[in-house]
Amino acid sequence: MYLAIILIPLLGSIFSGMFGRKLGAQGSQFITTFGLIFTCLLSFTAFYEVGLNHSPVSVDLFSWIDSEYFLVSWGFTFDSLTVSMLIPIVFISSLVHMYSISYMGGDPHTQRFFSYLSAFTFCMLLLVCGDNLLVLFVGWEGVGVCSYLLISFWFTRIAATKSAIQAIVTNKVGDWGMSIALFAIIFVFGNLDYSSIFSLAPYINTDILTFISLCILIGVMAKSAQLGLHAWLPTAMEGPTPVSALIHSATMVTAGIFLMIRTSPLLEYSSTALIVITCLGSLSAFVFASIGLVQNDLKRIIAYSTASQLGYLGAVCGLSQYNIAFYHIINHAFFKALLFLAAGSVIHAMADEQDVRRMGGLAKLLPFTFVVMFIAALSNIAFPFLSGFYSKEIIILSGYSQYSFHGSFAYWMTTFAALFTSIYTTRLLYLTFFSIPNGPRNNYENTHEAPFFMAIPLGILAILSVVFGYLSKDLFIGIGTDFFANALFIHPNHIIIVDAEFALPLFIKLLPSILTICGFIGTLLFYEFVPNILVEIKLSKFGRMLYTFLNQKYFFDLVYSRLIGLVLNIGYMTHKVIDRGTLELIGPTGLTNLFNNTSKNIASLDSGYIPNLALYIILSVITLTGAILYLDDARLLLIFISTLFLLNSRHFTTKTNSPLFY
Amino acid sequence: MLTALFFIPLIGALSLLFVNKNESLMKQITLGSMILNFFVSMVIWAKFDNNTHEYQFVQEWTEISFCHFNVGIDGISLFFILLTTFLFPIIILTSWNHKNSLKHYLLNFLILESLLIATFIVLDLLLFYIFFESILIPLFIIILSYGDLLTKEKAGFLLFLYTLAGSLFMLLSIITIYILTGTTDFQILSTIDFGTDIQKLLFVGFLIAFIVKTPLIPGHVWLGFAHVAAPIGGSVLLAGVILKLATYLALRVMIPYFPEATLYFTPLIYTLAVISIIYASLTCLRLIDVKAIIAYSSVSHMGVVVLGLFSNNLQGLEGAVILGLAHGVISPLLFIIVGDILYVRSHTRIIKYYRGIATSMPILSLIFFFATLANIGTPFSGNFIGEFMSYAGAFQLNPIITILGATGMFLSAAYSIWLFNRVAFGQASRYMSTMPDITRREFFVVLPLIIVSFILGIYPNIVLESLHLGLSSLLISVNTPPLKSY
Repeated sequence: MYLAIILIPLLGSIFSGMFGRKLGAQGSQFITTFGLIFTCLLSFTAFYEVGLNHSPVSVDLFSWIDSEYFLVSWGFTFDSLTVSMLIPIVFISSLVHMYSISYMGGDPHTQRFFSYLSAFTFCMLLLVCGDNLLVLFVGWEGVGVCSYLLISFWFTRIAATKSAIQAIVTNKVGDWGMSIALFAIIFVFGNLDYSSIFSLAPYINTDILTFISLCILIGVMAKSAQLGLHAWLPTAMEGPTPVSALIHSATMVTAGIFLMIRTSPLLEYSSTALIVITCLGSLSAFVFASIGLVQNDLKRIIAYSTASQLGYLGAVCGLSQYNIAFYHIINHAFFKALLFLAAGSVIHAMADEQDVRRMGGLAKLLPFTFVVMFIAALSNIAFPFLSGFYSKEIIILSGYSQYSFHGSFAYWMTTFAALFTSIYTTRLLYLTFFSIPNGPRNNYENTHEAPFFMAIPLGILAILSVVFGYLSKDLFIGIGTDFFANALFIHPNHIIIVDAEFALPLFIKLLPSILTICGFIGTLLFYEFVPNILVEIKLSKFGRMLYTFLNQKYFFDLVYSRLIGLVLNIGYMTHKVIDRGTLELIGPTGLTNLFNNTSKNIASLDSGYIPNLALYIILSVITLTGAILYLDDARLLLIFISTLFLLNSRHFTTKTNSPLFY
Repeated sequence: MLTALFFIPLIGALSLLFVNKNESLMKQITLGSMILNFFVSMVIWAKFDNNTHEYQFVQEWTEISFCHFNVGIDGISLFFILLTTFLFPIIILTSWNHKNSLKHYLLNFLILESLLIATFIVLDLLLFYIFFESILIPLFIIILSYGDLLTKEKAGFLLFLYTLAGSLFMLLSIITIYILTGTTDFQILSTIDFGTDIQKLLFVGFLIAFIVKTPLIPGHVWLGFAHVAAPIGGSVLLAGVILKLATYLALRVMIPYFPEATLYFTPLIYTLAVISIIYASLTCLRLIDVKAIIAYSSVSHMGVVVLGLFSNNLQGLEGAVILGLAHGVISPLLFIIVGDILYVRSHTRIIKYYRGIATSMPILSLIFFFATLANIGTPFSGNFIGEFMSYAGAFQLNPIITILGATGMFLSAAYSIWLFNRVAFGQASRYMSTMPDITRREFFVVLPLIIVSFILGIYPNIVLESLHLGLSSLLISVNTPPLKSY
């Protein structure tokens, strides 16, 4: 059963991809979707057996690499972390499959799309189920590749293929960091098995662990879009919307966070790395939330929201609260997938219009979509007592209860990020659903509510976005819960859940919620009654500067563009200046010229001018006899002969009318 | 057994002499003898004993002057032979529609196969040198007779100039070895310990040949030209087997006979390797000739092989061999795709003319995508295992240089994906007529390459098992006192 969970999506992908022409669009839709639903049921069983009944399973298939002490096998482990991670992955994947039946139904490449989706699910399952870091790395690279394929699904669009390249290359930079971490782990631990690494971690030098953790962090930065290597995530929105929902919000981007949770026994012993992770995460949360304030593309706003939430996740990992991070992964997966799918429904209804400024007033036309999107948005801004509230609140509070500089930094950054989140999400809602209709009349006349297959996933996810946080809070982050057992490790010094729950001042504790609600109500009021003030703020000198700065995403793209230009120039230099220049001149061309010129010069010695000839004879006789008789060294002769290369024909007379020419 | 391996292609070549005009018979004879050779090599692999590091299938011939024609294989040479016999039928099948003086073309390849196999099986240093160099002659003929009209003369010239200049120093080293020891037999040489100083001198001679043949950076100029100018068979052969001759040279001669010198020169070699990786990758980003891009990506990947080769631990050495094999499969695949399948349809190698072939050639695009992924070392491909183990081995010797060298991972992703994207994606070009998808012959030519890459990626142990003993005897322990010095 446990292997079936991993293999069914792979088989679905192969059938749909390789035999798509035989199966037809509906056949492949049926095979992949049904396979995923079946996998989903199996994962629920696995969750019951492993998670609730505490009976971890491990499956060892066969040896993979066997080289001296370096042994890796194709092994899979199912502990409570893995099976809980299966829930968002497989569940949301099957819902997205179902959604895509309708959303991608008219596409001529349906089989290919479903094949990619299933392949992605397979890679993600490899990532979470592997029992050593190399199997994880296989999934890690695999999801990057699938993401490339899915972003560039509409491959005739240049924008899509460009963002796909950006995604895979950025991910490869992360893989570079990640593989250096793996090399270091092989060097230090001699193995990649979780069990051996984690049991040895306490005995290893902290500096080495810090190095390994920071290398892992590079991988996490790329995969989970932390500040620095984030640029691919917003541009990845060029792909189809179900892809954005599944990959670029719910599952793949949380792979980095999952890795940090998985390697918690390593990270916990390196306080430096933890501080770096906290600061980076909270800074990401703040920066991306502020960028999200001024974006106008519906999907891009949600993408920045995702990036900001990933920042929260990174920050809380740095604060050592891995179970909270995991709890937020699941909650976030539900409401963010819902947000994307609902946005997809809006886009579908509005004839593929994505700019929020050209929407408005859709609440009456798309009531169901409006309701689910409203729920998702409220969950996203952590409106009290929805799913997002339970996890996000505790993330913010655990920053303050660390009682350290980086903890406070995380608290204030994430608090303001929460305010911004509330503002941009409300803005999104308002501009899409409430404001006066701004789009072309034709779009409004042809709007249609989500069809059946699109509505089911929306409904299920909406329910979960409301209740899941409340239902599972005690299971995942309740005080004293033993759900995760040995699957993750929190150093005893870093346990702060009690402080976060009970010891904080009331003001600190309520501030995030107050700001959130103020942001929500304030934004609604501003947009409804005094929108002109916003315009005036924007048009003021300072406002314009700030707007440009945020709208241009803190000029990250500019910096990267310059950097890449520099690298390409170096490439031009290596190609034109060194390869075709220097190396050519001292290599083949130089050699050819040298011999040509020398032979020409030597030939020109024979000028036919008799005094010259006499001079050569005398010179040669003197030098040769001198060299042989007195110096007795063959090397001198060599030097003598090589002087021939230095001859220059200009020094010899070529006057042919002289009587001395023969 | 090994002699059969050597003589089957020669017999094929001889019988080819009696066939005139019947082109399909010629091709059948050639292909038949090559496939027969492949089966013989498979039998050898099956009968190969993994539990000894001695030479197996040894066969001695009468003494020629001072050197024996004396053949045998061990774990190191086994897979190079397999790679050779595996690639040759594919080369012939790729150029199945070759028309221009077909007989000589086939003869050249048959003789080349014999010579390559001889290089890998002889157990004598001088004969090794002779066969190592003799490969140039048929290759030169192939490039000059069937190559690209514009560049073939320069390419042939460069090929000869560079490799001969490199090998000249190797010959000097070999002569010095003979003068010092009075023998050139591998088995006798392995019992002799050279003094540290003379080792360094001898090593430099081999190193120059190694740098040119691998190729590492200053000696790489010939490769780009040779690949661009060579016909498809020549390119496949160059990328697949001939680049691995240097790897074999290092494993067979440089590391076992000059251990101290190897350690002494490792920093230099590592520096060159890292420069090669980064330099070649950056160059790839700016090239516009698809064959040149793949040629330079070979330079970059061979840099990784070199990192593994000189890492002085088993992970690195085994990784280097696996990466050599995987690269010997994937690089030909890429050459077949762009140099043959696309080229015969569009008659251009300039990347700027290509756009959106995925619309009219979906199957080819898929295969091209697999090849690209394998080339950048994505898991499930042999390249991943090879690269990972090479880097892991090199990291244990020198972390900093490995971190720098590992940048090749994302640089290779950058140029490979860019190449794939430019060729396959985008709107179909209006300036290029719609090209038909790959034919059945072409599909079955590329399929074995993909399958081998997958097998190497998922279960590399089939190769590793036979490598363990052969390669562990190359590991150097620095504190060993020299037995006998010259």
